[in-house]
Amino acid sequence: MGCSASLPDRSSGRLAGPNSENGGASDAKNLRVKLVLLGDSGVGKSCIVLRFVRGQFDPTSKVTVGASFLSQTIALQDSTTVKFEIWDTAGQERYAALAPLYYRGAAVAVIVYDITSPDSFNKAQYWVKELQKHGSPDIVLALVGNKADLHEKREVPVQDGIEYAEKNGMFFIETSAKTADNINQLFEEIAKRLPRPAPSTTQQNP
Amino acid sequence: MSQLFDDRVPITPSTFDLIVIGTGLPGSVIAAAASTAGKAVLHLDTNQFYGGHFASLPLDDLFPFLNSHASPPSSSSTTTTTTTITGHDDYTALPLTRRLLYSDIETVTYAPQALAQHNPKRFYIDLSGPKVLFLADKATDLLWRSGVLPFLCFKGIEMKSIYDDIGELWNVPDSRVAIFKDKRLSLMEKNKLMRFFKLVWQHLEAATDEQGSEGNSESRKISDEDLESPFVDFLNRMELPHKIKSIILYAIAMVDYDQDNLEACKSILKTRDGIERLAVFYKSRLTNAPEAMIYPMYGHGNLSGVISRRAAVKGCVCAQRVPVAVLMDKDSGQYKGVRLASGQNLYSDQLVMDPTFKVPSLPISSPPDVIASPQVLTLYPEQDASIRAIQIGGSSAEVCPKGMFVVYFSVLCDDAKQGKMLLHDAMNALLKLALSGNPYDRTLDSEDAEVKPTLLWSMLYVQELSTDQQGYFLSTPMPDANLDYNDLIDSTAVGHTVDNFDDDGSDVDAPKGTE
Repeated sequence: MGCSASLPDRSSGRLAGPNSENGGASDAKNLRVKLVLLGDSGVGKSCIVLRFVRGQFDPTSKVTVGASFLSQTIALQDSTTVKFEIWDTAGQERYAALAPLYYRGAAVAVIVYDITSPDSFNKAQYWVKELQKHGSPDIVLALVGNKADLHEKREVPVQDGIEYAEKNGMFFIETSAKTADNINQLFEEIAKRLPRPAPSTTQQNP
Repeated sequence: MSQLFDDRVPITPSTFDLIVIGTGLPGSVIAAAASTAGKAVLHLDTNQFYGGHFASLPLDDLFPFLNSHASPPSSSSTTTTTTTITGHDDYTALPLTRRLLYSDIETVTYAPQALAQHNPKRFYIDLSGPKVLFLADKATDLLWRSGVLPFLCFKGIEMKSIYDDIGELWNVPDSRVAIFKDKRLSLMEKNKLMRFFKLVWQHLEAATDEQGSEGNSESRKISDEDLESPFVDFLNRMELPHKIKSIILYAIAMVDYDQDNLEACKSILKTRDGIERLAVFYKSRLTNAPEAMIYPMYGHGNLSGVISRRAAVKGCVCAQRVPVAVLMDKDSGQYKGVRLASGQNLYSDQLVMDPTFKVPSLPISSPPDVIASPQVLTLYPEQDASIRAIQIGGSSAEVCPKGMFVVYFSVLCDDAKQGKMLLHDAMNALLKLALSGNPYDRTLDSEDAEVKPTLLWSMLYVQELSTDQQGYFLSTPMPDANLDYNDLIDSTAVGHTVDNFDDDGSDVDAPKGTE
């Protein structure tokens, strides 16, 4: 994947490295990955990101407007760091208008459904198929059942999520952006599962 | 995505400031600019991909798309079925009809077996033909200002060539170092070229100084008289040798037509405009990037996609695969809004449409003009019109499988026969046809011959270029014949607030609740 972009940095007239590559790992110790969130409108994709990046939860947020790109770095026990460049959908999925470029080149896709909505679970499966068709071959897929705090309204059994994820080689977790339950675990687990670049190859240049 | 999204939820809200139909580059820019300015915008597309006539499509989607927008070979029966859908309300819904942009589509598969080894979805073909962005041009500037660059990847155009009179490809010496190193230029030619460039740079610097109001800049400037004269005459007065003139005219200033015969030439480039083009090139070079021209890694359609995404980030409501009709007031005949296939009515003050849509019975506008890394850019100065070619692919671009290339050719033509003849000539000069069906079959005698890339598949088509005529509704421009997007952005900016496009940094802000 990698990207040999040649855009100059405006102020200095020098080549801009960092924000012109997506999905490429910088080196074996400091990974940089593009992470996309997919799932039905209203399952809590942005809430998961906001909880993870800012530690906030806003129950009034309805449709994602104004945010599309956030990043957060986490450090793992083996002293590697992973910088997630998180692409939120900007609500484009609401009327079936999400561009494939959105998930193209992504190293990680987090597919979210709402455990109180079987419909959102169906859409999650649709996105899994879509990614298997069009995503990078070595993409890390995570299936996330969100709104786990609403267990009294649960309509998608945990077992259904586990089974579907297993069948499709995905990592599965149930989260609650509201209570922050399992949010950090989700991203840490993803970070551990990322394919590591071989130590000798330093740059992704062909 | 079909069945999953058929149970569509109605679009909310139902009233907007602006409705934009079509996600081509101009439509996307307008939607993003208006959304950034705080307007309520609805962005619709009948396709399920972004870009309209600016899209980059996989190989297997290309023909169906072109064909659905193509006029039938000859018997042009204009089926004007003005079926007005009259509802139970006060509006008349006029279904949009298509203006057919393409004609004479001709697809040839030279090596079916070789091609079948690859997934057709691995190719992205730009409908708008050979296009690039210059680092210092208006399109790049727009991308910078709108903050969408982190979502794009580019590949530099590594090599630029011109096809000369004796059928050889010439590397275009476009920098001081390249001029210096060029073995085909004599020392005298190099000096003349250097002197010419120096004159141009002095002129450009003087023009910049003038804005800061410095006194003695006039002497360093090229005279107004010269600026108004044909660029080719100016180059002649500079006593530049023929091949250098060709390079400047066709490979740097990118003129469309042969400038040597001024009487027959359809469009003469003035010195002023020629210098302007050199300036963009020069400034693109100044950026210290290794290449002056860049190509979006996943094809030009990506640009429309990221700009549409930008619009969404700014609160624009996006919907795809929605057939629409235009709503008119029954009594006054005034535009009111649109009606979706679902029957939902959506209202707006203004409507901007893709140029290929027509509203029957009302005369509407149809705006301007088509035509896109290791990569070559070639021109054929010996004909009336220049042929441009761009080669993208090899090891790093994402528009085709590794080791393969996508090559675009374009030429301006009056009729399909003439245009295709020119393009076939160009293809024959640069490519070898896979006749045996096995492109890897190298015969002995070709060993010391120049190795030309083998052509596996080709598609030729004609795209109509028409000029803007303002009508009842605003239409966006269609892809033009230029290599860059400058004219397109100019015509998009007319009457629209592209100035409002600057990124205010809120792209990385927290989501806010709407409604």
